[in-house]
Amino acid sequence: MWLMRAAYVLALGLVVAGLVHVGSLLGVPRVATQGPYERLARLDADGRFALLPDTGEKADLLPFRDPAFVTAACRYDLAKGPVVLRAELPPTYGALTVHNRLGQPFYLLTDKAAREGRVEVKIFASEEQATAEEEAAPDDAPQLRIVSPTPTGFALVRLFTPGESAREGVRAAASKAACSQASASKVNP
Amino acid sequence: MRLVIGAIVALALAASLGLGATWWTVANGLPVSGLRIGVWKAEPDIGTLDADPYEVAQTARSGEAPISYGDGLAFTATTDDQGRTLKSACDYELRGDIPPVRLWTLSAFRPDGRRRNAARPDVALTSADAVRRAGAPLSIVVSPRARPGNWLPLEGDGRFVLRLTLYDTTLGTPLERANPTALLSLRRGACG
Repeated sequence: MWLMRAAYVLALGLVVAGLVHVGSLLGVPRVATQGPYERLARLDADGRFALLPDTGEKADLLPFRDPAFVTAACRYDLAKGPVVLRAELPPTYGALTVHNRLGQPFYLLTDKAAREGRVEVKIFASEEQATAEEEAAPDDAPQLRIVSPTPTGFALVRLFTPGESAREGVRAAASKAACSQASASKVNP
Repeated sequence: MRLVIGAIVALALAASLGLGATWWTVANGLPVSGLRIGVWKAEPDIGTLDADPYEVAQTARSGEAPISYGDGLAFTATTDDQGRTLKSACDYELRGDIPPVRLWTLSAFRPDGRRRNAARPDVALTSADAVRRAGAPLSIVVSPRARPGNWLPLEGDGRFVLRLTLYDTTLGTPLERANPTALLSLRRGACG
């Protein structure tokens, strides 16, 4: 009799354990305080690209960051309107990636896609905005328009350093990256 | 009374097992997921919006900004060929071939992803400065002491992990995942 009871308790425990596991797993990103987006808060990278230092404590802001690359990061917020990203990607290897709030990259441009060594892309909060802009785009607006799955997120410019002597030059190229609120839209919805 | 005890036992079991499973998988990843080649392990889906909840939680916990899938694939090795953890006191020889890629980099990190020396820019061995001999596989020595040929210097002490990042690779495609190309072997040499 008690064996039946123990088996019943065990089965109940296992089923509820599965529910607890799934629930807590889905909750982890919401309660995490050390995700990549939160870590970049210490870099003063809101609305502008900031270079991650190569030395000191802040060099470890993003774990497992490839030391052969110079990295610049920018956190964007689409609440105040679309954001334009511009970067120089030298042909030695460079990439501009756009990540959502939780850190998953959703857009990538490498130097192969660069025109005259530069890329630019405009991030919108919704499909409607992007379409409206497409119809009434000013001539100098970026041709690439993407929609961010989350209203906030971050972008990384990562440039390969072919040898230590090139590091200063690559850092200078990375610091030219811009991440700015798009100027007042000429679109009338 | 017995009903109450039974309920408490069941709930305690549920809480400890459920939270324990979450804690372990978020820290270590699912044991069967990802792409394993020898000692190297990568999670190709972590760099896409299709990342599963385990990978999303892993990113949130580690703080790493994953490399986009189209950009490259990051492989991590925590043990040598015989399953022993990597220690800074030892020499390691990596040998083999790297599949066709545009660029690869190899670097050593602390197990939590921090750099091994905070005072100086970290070093990585890359395809741009590696020496290759005609007709012979690539050979790299990871050692705290200077070595001829391809040498990745090791600083600090304690355990470390190796990160081999392949940029612009086809290794993560479903076809390659089913039948992956071999990567570098990792053999331990002298310790001390």
